[in-house]
Amino acid sequence: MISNIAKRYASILIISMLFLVFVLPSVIAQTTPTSELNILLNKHDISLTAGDWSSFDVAITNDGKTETPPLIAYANIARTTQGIFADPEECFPNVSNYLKPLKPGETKNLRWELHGVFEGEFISYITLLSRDKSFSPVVSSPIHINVQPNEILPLKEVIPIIVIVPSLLCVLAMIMFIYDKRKHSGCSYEYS
Amino acid sequence: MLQDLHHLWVGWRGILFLLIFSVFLSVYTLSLSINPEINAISHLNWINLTVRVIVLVGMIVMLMLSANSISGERDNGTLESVLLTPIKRGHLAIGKILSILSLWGGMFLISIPYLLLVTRGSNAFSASLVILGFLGTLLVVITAFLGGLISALSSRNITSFIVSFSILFALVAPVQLPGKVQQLPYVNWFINLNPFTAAARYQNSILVDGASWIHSLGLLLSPILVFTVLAFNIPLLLNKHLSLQGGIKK
Repeated sequence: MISNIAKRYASILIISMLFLVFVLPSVIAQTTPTSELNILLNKHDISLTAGDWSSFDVAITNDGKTETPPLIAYANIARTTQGIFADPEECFPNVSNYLKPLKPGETKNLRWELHGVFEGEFISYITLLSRDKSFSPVVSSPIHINVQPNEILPLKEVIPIIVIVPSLLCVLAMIMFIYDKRKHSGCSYEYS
Repeated sequence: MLQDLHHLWVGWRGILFLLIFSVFLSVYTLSLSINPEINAISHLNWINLTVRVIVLVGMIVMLMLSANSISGERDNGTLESVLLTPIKRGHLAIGKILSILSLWGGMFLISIPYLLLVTRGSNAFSASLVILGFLGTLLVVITAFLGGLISALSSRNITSFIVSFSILFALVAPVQLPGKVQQLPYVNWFINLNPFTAAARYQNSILVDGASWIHSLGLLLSPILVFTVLAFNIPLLLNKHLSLQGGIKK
């Protein structure tokens, strides 16, 4: 009886040890690239005028000991204050970069062109994603972007023109209308 | 022609058209100024777009008036008295078209302050003014001739409008084709032969690409050729074929 119980515990112990020795490391190995992928940016602050373009370089390095799965490097952007939603696809023409698996120690250099479509303050960051379900996203440090208002068509200079021109024509149209009406009423008086 | 000019300008109809046009340009400029998404395109593209919009509105207005010029009189039953005047029928039609074209002169003058505003901070004002004045006028005149010709030959006003606007749409629409489609050999050939699309390409090369005036001069061949053919042949054609009932008189 006691030997049976001992056998059962021993078998559970052996299975547990086998799990610890063989299965667990492989599970850990699949997730290690996540923490060992390094995203380095060459800029942390960008200032530009709305409508202008800027760019920043990104170096993605695999500091781990295993090859990564195929990766997707995705540029994201968020406005720091409430306002018009910043669309990553409008701000970055090449919003996603599809990368081949990175070997241990390998670095991939990428460049993102940034279009200052909206004025305001934004935070952008690069995220590494993969189709591999065990891969957890890796996020870079943020880039603070300040987009100054575009002074090409300032409202204070637009308003006078867009008000004065139609107003002048409106006055002219009224003068012509009154002149035309008087002329015709004069005719009807003449003939009556 | 003088009677038509008098009717258009002294009868405040012309000024009303110009007022509507200026209100349209004001709304357009305001939308450029306050729409933050406009930054998605470059300043030179704004200028190019503005010139295109002005020319397009000019063409639509000219077509609307010229397509109504003779068939409208036919529908109202007043064409008979007009045809009885001791003047060649072709000259009569040309006179009507020219009086309508005087409206484009007003539209051009009104566009200047708006163009000054939109080209602010760039060197494109003089180029856009020349494009509007020369190329825009060429396209507007072609449109007015086309509308006048169709109007003279249409038995009903509605037919004149439908045919005129369908032709204009078919000729202008290829400008909106995607760049890759425009590069296809047959499409590219059609675009270079079509006066409207060829002119749009030329304008694009000057205002957006910054090319020299003589770089794509070949593109101006078809608008100038079509203008010349229409200007010389419409009076001759309508001298023979302008009739009270419409259609082509034999």
